[in-house]
Order: sequence, then C-alpha cells, then structure tokens
Amino acid sequence: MSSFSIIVQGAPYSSQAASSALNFSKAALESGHSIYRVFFYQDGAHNASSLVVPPQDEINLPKSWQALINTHKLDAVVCIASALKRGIVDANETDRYALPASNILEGFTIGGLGLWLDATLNSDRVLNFAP
Amino acid sequence: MTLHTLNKHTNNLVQLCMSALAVSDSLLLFEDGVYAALVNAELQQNFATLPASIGLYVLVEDLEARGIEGKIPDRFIRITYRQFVNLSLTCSKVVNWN
Amino acid sequence: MISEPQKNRWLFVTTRSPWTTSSAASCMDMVMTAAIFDQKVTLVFCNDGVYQLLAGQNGKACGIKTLAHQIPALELYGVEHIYVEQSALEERGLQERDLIQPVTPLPYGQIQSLIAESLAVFVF
Repeated sequence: MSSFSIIVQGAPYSSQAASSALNFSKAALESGHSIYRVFFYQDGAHNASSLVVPPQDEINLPKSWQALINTHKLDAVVCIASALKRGIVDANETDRYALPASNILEGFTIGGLGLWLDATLNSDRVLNFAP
Repeated sequence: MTLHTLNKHTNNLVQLCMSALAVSDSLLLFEDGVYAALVNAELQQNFATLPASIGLYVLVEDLEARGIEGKIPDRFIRITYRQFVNLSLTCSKVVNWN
Repeated sequence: MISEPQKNRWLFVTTRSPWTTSSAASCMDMVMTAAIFDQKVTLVFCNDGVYQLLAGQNGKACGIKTLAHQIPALELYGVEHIYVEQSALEERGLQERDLIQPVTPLPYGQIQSLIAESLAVFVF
C-alpha cells in the first residue's frame, strides 16, 4: 500500500482538472492505497464551495469531493491565499475579515502552502492536476 | 524513471515535454493530451521518433469521451485510471505537463 | 548524465506569461515556500514563461500586480539555480540584455538530468 497526495488546480466545470483528480483519487483508494492529503490550489479552491449548484444532469463536484473526503477521512486542504482571493472562507476567516457569511464545505479545511510542501515530502507520489 | 503526464496538445508544451523524456521514462497522455496521439496528426510524428524504450500510454476514459479510441496508433498502450495509479507507482515520480 | 534523486531537491518549470493567468504567480509562491523551508530549489523559465523575465514590466497600466518585481528576490529567498531556455528566448526575438537580470541559459537536454535528480517536479 502506498500513499498519494493530490494537487487540484482547476475549478469545477471550468476544465477537466477537478474531475480527473477526483477519478484518480477514487481509483487510488479503490486499489487499496491511501491519500495523505488533497491540496486545492489556485482555482481549485472553488471545489470547496458549499454554494455550487450545477444543473441536474451534471455531477456535483464539490459534493463528490466531500463524500470522498468524509468516507475515507481524507485531509482536504484549501490553500489559504487561493481561497481568500476567491471568496472561499471558513468561520475563522469570516470573523477575521468581518465577512457576511462563510461558505466552505464541511470536510475541507483552510491552510498554508507549508501543507503542500509537507504533503510532497511525506507521500510516496504526488499527482498534480492542472487546467 | 519518471512518469510524465501530458494533458494538453499545444505544440509548445508537447515539444517541451518531449525534450524532458529520458530513455527509460514513460509518457501518459490524458485529457486533451490524447489528441496529440491521433494518427496522421502533425503532433503524432513527434512520438514516432521516440526510442522504443519509452513507454507510451493513453488514458482510456479520455479516449472514449472524445470518441477517438480507434484513431490512436497501437504503440500507445491503453490504460484505465486504476492502471494509471499502478503506473505512477512503478515510476519513481510523476511530472505533469500542463 | 542521469543521477539519483536527492530528497530535498525540487524543480519548478514555469511556462506561461505572467499576465493572462495566475499560473506564473502561483509557481512563484510555491518556489518561495519551498526555498523558505530550506529545500534546494531550481527554477526554469520555458516557453512563454520567459516573458516573466523581461525588464521594464509594469502592471499598473492594467491594474495587475507586477510579478517581475519578485524575480530579484528569488536569490534572497535562497533559490539555488535559475535557468532560462535559450531557444524560448530566441523564438520570441528576445536577448539576454532584455531581461531583468542575467539568467543562466539551460543547455538543451539538461532538463532531463534536472528532473532525474529532483525529488519533485512541478510544471506551471
């Protein structure tokens, strides 16, 4: 059994990156491997939004990530700089910046680039999915 | 031994990825990268000149999505996501060209 | 010559113009993070990435932060090696004197050994 870390750099529906990353993550877990961390970077931060409403004939990517994260107790981190710029915030950031609401999906956390570095150093393989 | 993955078919990026392939490396085309392998496509000629020691792969799911399963040369080995996972583990690292 | 990967050696390859997407800036953030954490970092400017090195850039004109202002700081952050793909400059009609600072040209084929000796490689 090996450990993977996955970097997701694409917003849902804007490119194939988020779907490919999700497919790879599922395949890795189904094959009995573990995922050390999923790191959402740049536009990938949008995958953590609880406000995404796709048309009924499309997969809800944020909810699909959330299901995978909760089922497998994955560490899913959204880069704080990427998240704040794009309006993805948790309760802490909502307080800090006096924002009207928080919108991050339960299961995702916000963290710094140090966690990407740590993921790269501590996983057997790192896969980067970018638009 | 590196697994290179290429998810676009822009000329500049394909050329750059090609220049990075060492003789024992492997290359997986996925997403729009699979278009680069179309038979008779200009870009495809780049792959024909690669040494036989370089493993060439295409992601089946992305071929099917694009309706081009029958238009890719036999030298490209068709693999699924699960085989992609295995391939990434038989190589020492994965470099994504995007 | 292909050598074994070293556990703290990182390679970043930046291939895009600094203006149309955030990709180049995001690469710079990762490069600096890795360098701050005492990793041995090599950064290579390829394809349209060489536009990041042009002197005289100023984003004020279009209301965008100027990424090029960070280039001189790379050395201060401890980034070990910075290379530029010579052919990418030539294809774009650029010369070394057009750049913010002198950058070592990357010999053709050298990228293979840089990849081989790195623990992780990120392309932006």
